[in-house]
This record gives sequence, C-alpha cells and structure tokens, in this order.
Amino acid sequence: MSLWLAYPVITLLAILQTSLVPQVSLGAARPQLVMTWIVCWAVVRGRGEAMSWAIFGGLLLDLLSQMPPGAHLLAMVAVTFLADLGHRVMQGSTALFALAAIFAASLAYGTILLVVLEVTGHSVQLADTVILNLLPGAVFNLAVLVPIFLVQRVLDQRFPVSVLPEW
Amino acid sequence: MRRGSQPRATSYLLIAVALAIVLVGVGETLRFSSARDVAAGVFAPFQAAVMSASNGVGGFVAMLTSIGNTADENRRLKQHVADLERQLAGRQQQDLTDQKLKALLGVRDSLQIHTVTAQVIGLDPEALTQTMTIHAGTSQGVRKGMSVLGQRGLVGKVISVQSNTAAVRLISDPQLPVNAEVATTHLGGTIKIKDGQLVDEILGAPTDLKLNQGETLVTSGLGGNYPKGLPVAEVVRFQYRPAEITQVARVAPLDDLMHLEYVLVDTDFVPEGTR
Repeated sequence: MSLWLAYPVITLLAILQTSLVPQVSLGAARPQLVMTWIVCWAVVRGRGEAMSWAIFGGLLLDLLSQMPPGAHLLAMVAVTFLADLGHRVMQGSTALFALAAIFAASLAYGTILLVVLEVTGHSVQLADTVILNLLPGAVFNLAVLVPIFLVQRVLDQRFPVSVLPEW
Repeated sequence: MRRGSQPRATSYLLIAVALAIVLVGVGETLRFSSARDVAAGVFAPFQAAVMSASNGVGGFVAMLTSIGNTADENRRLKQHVADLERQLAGRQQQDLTDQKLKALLGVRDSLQIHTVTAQVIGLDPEALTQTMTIHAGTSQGVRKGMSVLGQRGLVGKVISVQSNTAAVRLISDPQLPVNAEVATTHLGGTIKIKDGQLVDEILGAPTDLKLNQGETLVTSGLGGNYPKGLPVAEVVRFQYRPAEITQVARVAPLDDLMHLEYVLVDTDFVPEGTR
C-alpha cells in the first residue's frame, strides 16, 4: 500500500476527532481515532511504516488542539514505536495483540500528554483524569479498533510488503 | 522482514522526539500559534461541515425510527412518508437551531451587550484541556480575552484568535478561575476546578452563610478579566464548614459545555493588557 494514501485518511480522522467525536463522547472519554489508526498499522504491518504517519498525525493534532506544542507528536511517536517494536517481538499480529497494544498505547498516550501538561506548568488532576478520561477512553479505543483492524488487515493483504532478497 | 526497517523506525523516533522536545520547550516562542492559525483557517470549513452534519444525526435517527412504524404500508407510501419525515426531521433540526439562536439572543438582550454569534466547530481531541474552537475571528471583531457566552451564561474566554476562528478556554479548565459573586448577596468568591469538580471558593464567608441550590453566581468584575454581572454558574450543593477558613460550594456551569453548538462573544469588553 502506498504510504501516501494514508495521509488523507489521517487528516480526515483528525478532523473527525476534533469535531464529530466530542459530540459522541461518553462523559470525558473520547476515542482517539488518529492514534488508533496509526498504532493499529504498526501492529498489523510493523516495519516502521507507521512512524512517518505518527509524525504527521502528531503534528496535525498539535496544530488542531490547544495542548502544548509537541505534546501529541511526542506521545504519538512513542506509542507507535513501542507498537512497532511489539510487532517485531511478536513476529506478526493477532487480534488479541492488537487489543492489548491499543489498550496499553491509549494509557501510555494519555500519560505522556499529562506529563507534558504537568511539565509545562498546567495543573492536572491526575487521579480524576486517569479514572474519568484515560481508562474509559482506552475502552472506547478498543471499540474503534475493531473496524480499523479489519480494514487494515484487508489493506495489508491487498498490498503485501515487497520482500527484497537479502544477499 | 526486510532489513533496515528497525533502524528506520529508530531514526524516525529520534528525529520526532527531538522535534517534540524543541516544540514543548520553545514552541510558544517559535510562533507555533501562527502555524495553528494557518491550520485553523484551513480546517475550519471542514470542521464546521462535520459539526453541522453531526448535529443532524439525531434528526436522521428519529426519521429512521418513524419509518419503521410504517412497515405495513406499500413502497410508494413508504417513500412518501420517508420524504415527509426527512423534511420534518430537517425542520425540527432547524427549529432546534432557531431555538438555540433565540436563546442566545435572549441572553444578549437581557445582558444588554453587543455580541458576535459563532458556531462551535472544534473541541479538544483528548478532553485533557477544556478548550474549543469557534467559527469567528478578528474579521468578525473577536479579540483575545473577550468573554464567550452560551444560552444561559458565561462559558469561557477567547485565548487566541485568528482571522476567522478563535480558540476558547472553557470555565471548566483549571487554568481559568473566574472571580464571581452570589447574584443576590454580592458575596465574592472564585469559581475554579478543585478535585475535578467546579466549585466556588469563598474566603472569609460570614458564619451564617447559606447558599441555596440553584442560586446563581455572576462575574464580580474583580481582576478585570470579565465584565461584571455575567451569569456563570449555579449552586449545586453547599454545606457550611465552621472549621474551614474558605467555604466551598459545589457549582455547575449554566450551559452544557460539552454540547455547545453556538455561542456569543461579548465584544463590548476587552480586558486590560489584551487590547
């Protein structure tokens, strides 16, 4: 699959995440469409392919949110790298691995954002945010993951990796 | 696996982390807000379109439900009913919007202020900062520091403004305490987030202080950040604690901050230092 095709998708997801998603949120919990899409691709495909998406998606969310600049970028590349590493360790992807990776990535992503907020002098209600925002948000992301995982598995099979001979 | 993918991922990681650290450290001084202004200008029409479409989802669902009740009718009648229902759903949606806009006009008239009406087109994607983006900016007379009102009262303050959009920090954000007073007694306090809840902290309250549920708090004008007299919140619960120097009343915003569709920007009042 041409990696360039993903950028409009990520842009669309970022627009939805900043406009539509808050309308369907449950309390403070919101699904993270961009993060789920990118991390899921790292899980499904590996090979570092999702890293460039992570940079693009992170910067885009930084531009569209009022978080300290760079917060989304840092969080996005960190969780994507870990998911990519997970793909290497697991030698592939399974639905169970994807679920576990997205849940862990959601919590890690939120935690990094909170740390950046704290470091940049914003007061953060840590316990409340984890209970009311991060944990429900992680569960929300699991629900979003299901269709994304199915789509990306199809894309992965439809556009297989071109394997070069290793001399 | 093709060789080189892991070094590539690591390279991306290192570059991105370095960039992120630079942005976190000095992003504000590097005029990152200018980049946000450009992005807001580019994405605002799309966000507005999605917001408008999402507001119609409720009506569309209602239409589908009502179509289900006409299952015994023939195809032509079903189509006819569907058309009528679609028109009705659209009309109801329009009526709802009219009601909201009329309510906003009511707020404006009752407060006797000049305002700019703006559609809410974006909310913080993570809900970790309580901010939103509105579809009005300097072209419409919006300035940094102006107060933003919902249908019933103050909802936030403009923190940055572009030509056609503006970012608004909501009163539910810990960074935005509001000096307020009880509307009936003028007893002053500060509305802020404490332990995850919106409260009114009253220093040096009289020992016979009583605050009834539903009592309205308005801006006191102290500090010069807001004009005096804007409704802000209502008392949800209060119990006098004799041992405490500061009395704390649990309060709630007058508007549902997470489901605002239209807001008013009070253009009469610009705080000192932001003009």
